[in-house]
Amino acid sequence: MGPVRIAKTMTLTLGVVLAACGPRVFEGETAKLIEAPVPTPAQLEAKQPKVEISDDKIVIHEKIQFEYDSAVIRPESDALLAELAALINDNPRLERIRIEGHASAEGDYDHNVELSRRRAESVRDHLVERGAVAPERLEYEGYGPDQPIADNETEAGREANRRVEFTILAQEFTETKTITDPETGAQRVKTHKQRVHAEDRSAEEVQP
Amino acid sequence: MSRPSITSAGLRAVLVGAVLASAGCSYAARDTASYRSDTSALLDTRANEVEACYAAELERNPSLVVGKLTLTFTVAKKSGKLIPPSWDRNRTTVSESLATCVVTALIGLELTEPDLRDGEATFVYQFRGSPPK
Repeated sequence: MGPVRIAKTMTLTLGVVLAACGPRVFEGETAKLIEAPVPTPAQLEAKQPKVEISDDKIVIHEKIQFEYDSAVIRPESDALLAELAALINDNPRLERIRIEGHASAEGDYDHNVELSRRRAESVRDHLVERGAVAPERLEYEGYGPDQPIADNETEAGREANRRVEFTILAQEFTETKTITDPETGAQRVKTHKQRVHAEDRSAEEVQP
Repeated sequence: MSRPSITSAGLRAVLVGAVLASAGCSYAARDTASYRSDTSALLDTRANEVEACYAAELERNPSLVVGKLTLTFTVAKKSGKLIPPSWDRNRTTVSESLATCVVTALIGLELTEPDLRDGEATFVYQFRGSPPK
């Protein structure tokens, strides 16, 4: 074998060796499937709002806890009240809210009325002092056992009757109407604001 | 007519080159199927992070139910490092924020046993809503 042939063979060998180092090109055989994570019960609970606005009420989905026969709010209700304060602050259209304390029929009537009033006051103070809600937006009242929602003959009923409710006394609505010109088909949007009072169901125009 | 000649020094250089080239290939020598499979397994080690990207995107944009992300990238020879991927916009339907999150999640991956060759890879992630009940 002559030197030229040897050189050619070596060059070919080198070429093959180098070619063996070329990239491998490939594509995944199937797509990698990524599914939406299933929320855990704890996450679901965390996502569920504890407070919601419903017509003329702010509905709370858990009870505000007080010390026994006292107007002192228990610390486990701090998160609920923080969420409630945030909701009120985030919705300035809720102009005036009444905090209503209710009691069961168990025990002395006057004591229950007074306790329910002090508990409502305590909630108002908490929302103002710790939740930074403007005090002029809140008022409070104690109704004692006068407005039961459940049977006072059972413990479950009495427990349900011991509660705090939130009534929206005045709130603003913005009504939007789209008016179509029958001749030209042109559309224009008209808005106007109304203030609605829950107690007498009256409404008044709000000047822009 | 005189025949072309080659010097012994030239021959030696070619030989040394071949030896060096061979030495350069002293890594795993996967076939295409193995390279694909090992790279796929490597990507799967970050499946939780990719799922987290999807969950975060769904939080931001709940209307995003399904979508596809096609990634192309190189697995570097000899180091096994995954060069940060780019996404093929013609074959991608998910948002840029989700694509960016996934690409970021894959940074730092590398094959434990590098290959003597680069791997030019394409992988598709298919995002879909709730798993079947």
